[in-house]
Parts: sequence; C-alpha cells; structure tokens
Amino acid sequence: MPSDAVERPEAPSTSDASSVGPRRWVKVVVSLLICAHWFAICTAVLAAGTPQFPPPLPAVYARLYVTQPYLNFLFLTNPYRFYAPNPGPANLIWFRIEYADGSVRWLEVPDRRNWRLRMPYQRHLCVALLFDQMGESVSPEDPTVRRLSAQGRVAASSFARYVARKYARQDENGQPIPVARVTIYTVMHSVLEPHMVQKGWDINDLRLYTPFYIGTFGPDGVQLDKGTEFMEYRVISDLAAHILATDIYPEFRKHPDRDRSEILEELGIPRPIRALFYRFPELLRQDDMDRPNLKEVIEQLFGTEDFPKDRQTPTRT
Amino acid sequence: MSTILRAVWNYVRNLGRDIVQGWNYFWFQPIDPVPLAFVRLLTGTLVFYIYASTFGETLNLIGPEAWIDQQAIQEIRAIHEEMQTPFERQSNRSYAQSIWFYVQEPWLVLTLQGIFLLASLCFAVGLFSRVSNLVVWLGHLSFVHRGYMAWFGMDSVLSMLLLYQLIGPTGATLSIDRLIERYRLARRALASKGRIGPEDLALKPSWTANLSLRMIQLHMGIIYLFAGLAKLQGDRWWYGSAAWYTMVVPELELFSMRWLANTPPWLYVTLVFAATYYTLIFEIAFIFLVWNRKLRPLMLLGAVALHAGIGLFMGLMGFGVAMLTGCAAFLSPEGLRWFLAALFSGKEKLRMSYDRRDPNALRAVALAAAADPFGQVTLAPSTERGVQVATEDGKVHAGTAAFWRLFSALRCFPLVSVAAIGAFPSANPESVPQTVARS
Repeated sequence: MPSDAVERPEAPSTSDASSVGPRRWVKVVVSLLICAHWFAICTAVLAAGTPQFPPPLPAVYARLYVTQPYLNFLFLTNPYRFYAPNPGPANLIWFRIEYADGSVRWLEVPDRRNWRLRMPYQRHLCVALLFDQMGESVSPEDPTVRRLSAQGRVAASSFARYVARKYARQDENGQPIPVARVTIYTVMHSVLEPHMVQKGWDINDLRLYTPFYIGTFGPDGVQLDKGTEFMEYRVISDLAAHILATDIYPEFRKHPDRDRSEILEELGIPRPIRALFYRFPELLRQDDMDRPNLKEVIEQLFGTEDFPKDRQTPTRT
Repeated sequence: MSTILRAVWNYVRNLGRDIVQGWNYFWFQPIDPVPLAFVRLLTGTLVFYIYASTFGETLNLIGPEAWIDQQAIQEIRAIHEEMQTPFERQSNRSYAQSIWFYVQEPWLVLTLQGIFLLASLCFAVGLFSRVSNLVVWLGHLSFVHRGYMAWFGMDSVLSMLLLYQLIGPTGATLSIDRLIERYRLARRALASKGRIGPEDLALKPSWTANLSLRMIQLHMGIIYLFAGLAKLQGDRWWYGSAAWYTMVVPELELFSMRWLANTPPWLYVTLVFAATYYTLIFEIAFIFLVWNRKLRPLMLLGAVALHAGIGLFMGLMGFGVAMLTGCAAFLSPEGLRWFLAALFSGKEKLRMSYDRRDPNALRAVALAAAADPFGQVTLAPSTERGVQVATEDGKVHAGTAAFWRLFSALRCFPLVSVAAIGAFPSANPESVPQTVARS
C-alpha cells in the first residue's frame, strides 16, 4: 500500500478548511431529493412480476401514477430481471419477402454471418427480441397461445415497411421489382439440453425452433390477412414442409442443373431448413420433392416423437 | 416510570442523532474525486466504443426509416389514447423524449450522432467534462428512447452511470480539464509568489463527488440484489442448471461450451452448478458485504470474475464492462491513487531550476508542474538564464535537452509537450554547469 511519506501533490488534503461539506439547508434539500429518487427506483424494481409471482399492488400503482414520468424520461425503468426467472431462448425473426414478379426471398434477422463487430449484431438481436417482449402467454398451461400487444402490431407493420424498402430488387435491365408482400414469423430458438448434446443434436436442429406467425403485410405495412391479436403457433415441421413445397422445390425444378446450396443461399433460406438438406440429402431426390405429405416425411427422418403435436389455435373474435 | 420514559427518550434521541450523523457522513462527506474521475474515464470510453462500432447502423436503428420508423414511433406514442381503461391508458403512456423524434433528415441524424461521438471522446479524456457529460447523457437517452427496443441491460446501466455523474465534478482529476487547471494555478502561483508550493496545486475534496459515487454504489447494489432475488423465482436457478442455459445460446456464445455435456457427470455438475450458485450467492450478497472494507476487495474481485464469465461464455462484453464500471465506484481514493502511481509514476527524480525573470522559463515550469502529479520534479528559482533540469546523478540539461529529459521522465509530460516546445529554447552550453552538487 502507498507510503504516506511520498509527496503526492495531486491528492487532496482532508484537513483542508474547505472540506467541510454543504450547508445545512443544502443537506436537507438534497436529502429530500435523494429519498424521492430512491422511492422512484424502488417502485421500478418492485413493480415487475411474473404470473406466478405478481408484483405488490402498492408498488404497481405508485409506479404508474406517481413515478412513471420521472423513470420513463430518465430511462430508469428497468427492474433488473436479468435471466430471471429462468434463462430463456434467443429469438429470431424470419421474413418471407414476395416480389411482384412472383420471386421469393427469405431473411433471417439477425444473421451472425453479416456482422463483423459484436455490438451492432447485439443491437439487432434486441430488435429480434421485440415480439417476445411484446407478447404474453394467455395461459400458463399452454405457452403456445400468445397475445401480441398493440405496440407489437405497430412494430410488425414497421418491420414490413423496412424490409420492403431495404430489400427491393432490380431485374436484369435495372428496373425495380417492388415487394408485393412480407410475411413475418417470430421464432424461438431453444437451447440444447445436455441429453440432446449427448444424442448428437446440432444447434440448428429443426426441432429446436418454435415459430409463431405474426402476419402478412403489404410494402406499406398494411396487414393483408385477417389480423388478430394472437401470434399463431406453427409446428416447425409443418412450416418447413410449407417452405420446401412452396419456395425451395419449385426453384430446384426450375434450375435442375444449378448447385442446390447456391439456390438455398440465394433464397436466403433460414439455417435450420438449409441444415435439413445437409443432414438428409434424400430430400433432394425428385420423388421426395413430389410427395404431398412432406411434413410427415420430415418428422419421420428425425423421429416423430421429438416433434411437438399440433395445437388448436384460439377462437378468433 | 419517568426513569424508564427518560431512558426510552434518550435511546430514541441518540438513535436519531446517530442516524443523522451517519446519513451526513454517508452522503455529504467531502472526498478525493479520483474514483469518480476513474468512473468517468471508463464510462466515456465505453460509450464511445458502443456508438462508434454501431455508427454504421445509426440510420437502421434511429433514422426516420429505421426498423421502427417515424410513422411507427408516432403511432406507438399515441397508442395509450386507444386504450379502454384509465389503467391501460396510463400503463401505455410514454414520457420518453428524444431528439430523434424531431430530426428527420438522414444527413442531420448522422451529423448529430457524430457530434455525440465527439462529446463521448471528450467525456472520456475529461475535456469540457461537465458539458460533454450532459451531451453524452442526452445523446444516450435519445438513442435508447428512439431505438425503442434496440437496447439491453448495458444501456440501462449506462443511463444510470451517466445520470449520476452529472452530480459530481467528474473532470476534477484524471482529465485534460485538470491538466489545464494545474497549469493555470501554477502560472498564478509563479506570478504572485515566484514559486509553486504543493498547496498551490492541491485538489480540493468534494462532497458532490461523494454524493455521485454513493448514488452509483447504491444503485449497483440494487441491481445485483434484484437480479439475484428474481432468479430465486426460477426452478433452474434453484436446481443449479441455469448456468448451462446461459452458456450455450448459439446466438450469443463466443465459443461452444456444449462439450460440457459429454464430460463425466461429476465434472458437469461441479462446473455448471458452481457457476449457477456462485451467481446467485454473489448477486444477493453483494449489497450487504461490499460496504465492509475488509470484504470489499473480495466482492470487487468477485464482480470481475462474474462479468468476465458473462463476457467470455455469453458474449456480453459490453454489459460486463458497464457493470464493472459501476463497481469502480467502490474503489478507495487512496488505493486508486496508489495504483495509478504504480502504473504511471516514473522512478526518476529531477530538479528543475529556472530564471524568474524569463517568461519562457516560467511557462516551462508551469507546464512541468502541471504534468507532474506524482511530485517527481523539485522546482528551484535560479540566477541562471532559462531552464535547467538536473538528474539524480548530477548531470545538468538545458534548453531542448531539458525538454527531452522531462519528456522521458514524466509520463504525463507528453500531454503538454506540444505547448512546451517553445518554452525550452536552445541554451548557450558555456553558461550551463555540467553537474550540480548533491543536496
């Protein structure tokens, strides 16, 4: 530790006469401000809860009606529930972009391959988390039924407009090919359990993905299908079969001599669907492409018991 | 009966007095502002790194046609008006403000964001510290409010740090501001007394620095406490397996930790469960144990270990650095000064003699004094013209040689070297003694 015998002219002397502190009235005023501030912080950290552990009502009302403007403006609203109650999976967004000429492209956000620096990639991970944070389970017993908030629907429209602007195409003559519609899925990518690692599951295993359909939007953000407040749960094998049948196999048939992985790359097919072909090359066979029950084919390749069963979606009102 | 009542009254009165004294000591005791300055340096550097590395994505995150575009922001801010009940309306009402709600031109967004970056650099090095602190705070708030959901825990911690640093004199030391102030004080002392004493450059203790640091300290304790308590609601944290689920998220991991699942069960349990329970115990205990002086170094080391793990295994480096910056508020001024002296203080002692009649010599002396926070240079007026610098072995250097001697001996001298060049003219070698007698 430092020797007091060494002269350190920069260090202040505590015997300095000016080191007395503030006057009494300043102490009183500042003390009141301190108490008010920590009261506000307490309402922020106490007013968050879960269905199993709801927050105390006095904290909720104090936060809503007293401290919300202060906390909101200063961005001190975080209740610091980091990885609580349990660590959750990451979320991705899958966009299916359909152009006016009928061509299709998929977009997975965020795609780690597009980012050299960590920070902008993490910002986009947060963007992808939006639908999870804007959605809430309707029933604790059935987490597949999720309601999207009003802000979430506004955000979805905005995402559609953004994607339509940013991923517009041009034909060979340089003429713009406008985007006709954008379909949005929010996808939970579950973490591998230890027993799955022992069985040899890959991180991009199809069974780890849980998609929820948000909606189909025009390039101006207007929802084209019958919009509801619910995010529609889709069984991943069903969605994968749909993508294979509607987007991938027609391209394979159109260009039978082209490299399949090039086509998949051009289409921007999401990772777990691409991984299907690497793991099960038999899906590239012509007779597999023509089969009508692709969902069952995919499930049999993996082992049916590992896929979730279909869920009944809630009655739309 | 009156004896009992008097005893109770005395107890209550003494308790109240102790509480007030303790409160005053905790919040209002003037202290050396060096820990606050250190927090400023770390915060400014982190803010600069975050926004510089994201500058290319500025328009995609906060521009008028960002992911959440201007139209969506207006709809979201007005959404509370569509709610049915007063509770829902109040829950959805937003009081956030951002300059980016009003700036629409992409070129203007990028220009202002560039100015914000410059301000964060100034804040990091302590130039115009108060103003740059305010600009950085407003710029950060503007980003998180407009970015809407493109923020995470790191941004919450940064908003807290930037807010509390507005209270205290963050540029009082470890800053360009302080360097300039030391120069001015030295010039004033030379003009009035012809010499510079330690009292002329002494830093004043500051109660606002203490207040600022206490706010950061208490907030850090609350962050850890509630992060830990909330985890107790999760079965995986109780069971001990939660660390696995944080380490193997493909979207976050820097490298794979899935090999742990193929290790012997005792190793998997030891590593994963230890990491889980360590996190829980540390987070909940922090606010209670960190105030004890003997335990504080252990708690701070524990924080470094926790956030190093979070950074390495979960890829959340920015968050880890932000939390450790907040923990730096617990560093003691004496310990921090000792650490800085160990790193930056040169070993060499010098004696600098100067002619009080020579304006250039006075400027050189003031610059040397400003750049000598560790007291390596003894100053002595002399009848010899110009400036001479003598080393411990008795050799004397004058003119530009004196300049380079100071440049190599004082670690902070390069900061003032550009201003000092003209103050060390070449000396006539015949007028300079080659050695000095040891005092």
